[in-house]
Amino acid sequence: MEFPRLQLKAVMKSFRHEVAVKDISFAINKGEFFTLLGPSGCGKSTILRIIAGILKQDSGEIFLDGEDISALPPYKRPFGMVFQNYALFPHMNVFNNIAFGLKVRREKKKEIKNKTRKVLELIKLQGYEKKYPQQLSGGQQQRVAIARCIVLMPLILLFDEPLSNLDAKLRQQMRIELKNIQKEIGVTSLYVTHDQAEALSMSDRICAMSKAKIEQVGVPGEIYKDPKNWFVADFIGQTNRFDGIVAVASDLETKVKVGNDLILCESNRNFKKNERVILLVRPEHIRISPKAVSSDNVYKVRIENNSYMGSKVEYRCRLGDWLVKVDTQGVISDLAGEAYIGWDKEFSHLLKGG
Amino acid sequence: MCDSVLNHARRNRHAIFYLLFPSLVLVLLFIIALAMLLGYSFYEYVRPGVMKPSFTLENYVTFLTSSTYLRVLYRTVKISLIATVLALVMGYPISYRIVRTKSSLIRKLYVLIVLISFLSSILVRLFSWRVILGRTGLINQVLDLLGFSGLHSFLRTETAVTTGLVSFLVPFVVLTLVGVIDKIDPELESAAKSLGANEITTFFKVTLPLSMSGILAASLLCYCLGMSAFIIPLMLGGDVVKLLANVVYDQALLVVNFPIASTAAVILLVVSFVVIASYQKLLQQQL
Repeated sequence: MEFPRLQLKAVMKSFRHEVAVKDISFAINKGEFFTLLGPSGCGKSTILRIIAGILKQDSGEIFLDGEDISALPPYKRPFGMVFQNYALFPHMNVFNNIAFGLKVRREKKKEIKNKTRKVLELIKLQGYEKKYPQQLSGGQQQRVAIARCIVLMPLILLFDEPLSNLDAKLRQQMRIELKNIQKEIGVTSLYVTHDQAEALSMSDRICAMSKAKIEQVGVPGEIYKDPKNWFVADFIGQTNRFDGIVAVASDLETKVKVGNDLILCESNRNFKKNERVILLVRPEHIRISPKAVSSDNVYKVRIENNSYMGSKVEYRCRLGDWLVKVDTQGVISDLAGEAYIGWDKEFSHLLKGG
Repeated sequence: MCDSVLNHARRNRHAIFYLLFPSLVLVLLFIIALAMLLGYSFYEYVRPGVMKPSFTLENYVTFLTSSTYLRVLYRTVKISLIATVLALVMGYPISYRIVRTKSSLIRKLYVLIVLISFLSSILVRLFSWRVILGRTGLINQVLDLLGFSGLHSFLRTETAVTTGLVSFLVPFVVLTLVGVIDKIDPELESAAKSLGANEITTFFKVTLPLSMSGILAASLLCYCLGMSAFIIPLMLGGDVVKLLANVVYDQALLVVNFPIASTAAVILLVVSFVVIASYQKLLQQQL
């Protein structure tokens, strides 16, 4: 039987009286890029630290290839950890930072030199061996921090918000670089971030978290298109929320009554007539036009605000009690006053209402 | 306020002189005192309280050929070095514990305990050491209960002086090191452990090297305080274990032989400087 590379079973952790991690279980497969995504304080970094062994869980087990490693100290776990502030040793140059783990293992000098040279090539920092961390840019420091881990050939790389200290432009570039390095060596990775763009673009699977527990686990497309609850829908990407009641529930269609309007959805037998529901529509799925559009749901609205974003325009439209967000590609940028919005029924996403 | 003072100073260059005047007076007096000390050490000793201005090396010859003086000098350097090392070894874990204590209330309590030894007079503390180390003191009473008879006092031994000195120095070490260790990111220790280093390797490869500047400062401070220690050897060493400062005192105020007292003081100064300089040189080569 094939075991997952890493498996958490019912892991719990409290600090004083505050629950930081509540009953967390998930499994990561070999070579997978798995992301814990959630707002700050949701416990994602705590999970990472428990896996690394820096923190000790109150209860629950951690399995590596089917073997219980819950009690191992951090230095006996074959993981590499990349820290948010890089945590490079300031009293060592780049070479010694990368060679640190190898020296601890008492590898031969020649081996250390060879391996260090190879990872320096991989992170494209040849010739920087003698530099000290404080002489490097943020991006370079981050690459050294990654090199310092991968030189040890860890079974899992743990990333603790590694890009959050970089500026926006560099962050995007490092995102691609990091993913390339990960793919090249094929190492299983567990990535912690609060940045949904990072999570969506890099991950094989995402685990969305809030308030110490898991909300949803799935591939990025699933998380975005089929959120299981309001938290996931709201946290990942932008969305419009309408609270309503199911008016029609048949095999042909489902209609939701929101205020005085009926909104058409695809048939969904999970919801019964008169059930309270949340109806979600992503802003980019709504079309906007000065003339009536031909969609399943068409409404006349008043434009209250528009923001030009370069590649797109964001409109805020008044529809009764609701303020609807609409994104358009840059073509229609001069709408004002009255307009029509519309979307097809397959873009109406239903959740259980509260 | 500071700005306006500086602006004023820029307009009126004399202002700088006025501002510096108090410190100039102090520096001048200090230099004059040192110069006088150096001068006296070349004077000729006639009889108690009387000396003759001249330029003779006789006092230095006397000091450097007397086995008594040399023994005191050797003892002073030895006890200072041992006390410095012991104070560092004892002070480091205390500082580390204080810095890594999460609760700020408990951390403040620890610092307060360290500060209490500063707030109590050195005399009071030395008297309590006498109570502990003396002939009928705590240690001897315990030894007596355990059946070790033939009591002898621990006072007037080098051990007593070293013990007293270490207890005096540890708070200096702690207060110096706390600031330095506090600047070491605990994440670095986590990083070292995640790279496979156990607690001991992490300490010697990461924590200790990053505390070096504090250790350097603390050890210089301790060594200087040890070399100039006066009241501690007086109270715990009595007339048996004297350090150089006690000899200077005896010669200057009891024998009233200013030339030899000045010579001893100058030699104390020179030896201190030599040890400090070679220590710094050694460290520079290391780094």
